[in-house]
Amino acid sequence: MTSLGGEPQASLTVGSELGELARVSAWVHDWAEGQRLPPRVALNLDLCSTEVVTNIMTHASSQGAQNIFLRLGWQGQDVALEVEDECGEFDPRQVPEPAPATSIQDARIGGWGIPILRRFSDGLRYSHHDGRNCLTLLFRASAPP
Amino acid sequence: MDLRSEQLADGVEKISLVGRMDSIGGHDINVRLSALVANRKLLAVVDLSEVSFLASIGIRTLVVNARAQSMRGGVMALASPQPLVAEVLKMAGIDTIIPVYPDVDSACNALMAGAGSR
Repeated sequence: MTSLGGEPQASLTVGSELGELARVSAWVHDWAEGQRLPPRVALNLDLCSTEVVTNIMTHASSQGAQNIFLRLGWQGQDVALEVEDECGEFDPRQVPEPAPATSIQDARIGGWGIPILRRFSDGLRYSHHDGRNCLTLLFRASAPP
Repeated sequence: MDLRSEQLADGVEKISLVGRMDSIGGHDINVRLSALVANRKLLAVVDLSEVSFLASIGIRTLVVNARAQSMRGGVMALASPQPLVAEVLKMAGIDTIIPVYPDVDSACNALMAGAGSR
């Protein structure tokens, strides 16, 4: 995992079972509280981390991936959430935006995870190296305490 | 997640959801919500005031059940979303296909007015 630009940092490794989501959320909120992040930034972090990790968990079992590696830290004025997994190469930035629904009958029921990442973070970076996907999400916040 | 339902005096079914609509809570609540709304025609208001979190799995739950209700000739509306939940609904355009009201009373009034005009 590449190093983040500032201190303090936190890291967490979870398995690929959905039951681990609660641990991810608790970890995010604990860190956000320790950094005195505005509540709204903490909520955005929680929402985006949940979407990223859920998406990985959905594909992990069929691809033999077992662990998900998360890190939180600062990059200048931004909070950076890094998520690495060992699933097949997948760049979420390449996924097109879904067409807006025009009626309840034709509304899509899935595929909203990546639009949520785009809307509720302030930047996405992606790389693939050593057999791992590495996604970094940035969240605008004040400087670290 | 928790789900509570009650029949209001005007015949509207009020369904209150409580908790996080993520992949854990959302799955459980989808089964229980479907059991309530998918098999009979209703005027249903889903009170979201105690839903603190709406992930993409929660969008799926709301769309699937609103669609099922629509196909039966009923209406499922949403009421009282918290700010983050309201933003997720707006981002996905759900607020243009499922009516969203600021509170349960205004949702009930709108559903009753709509039922009267049909």
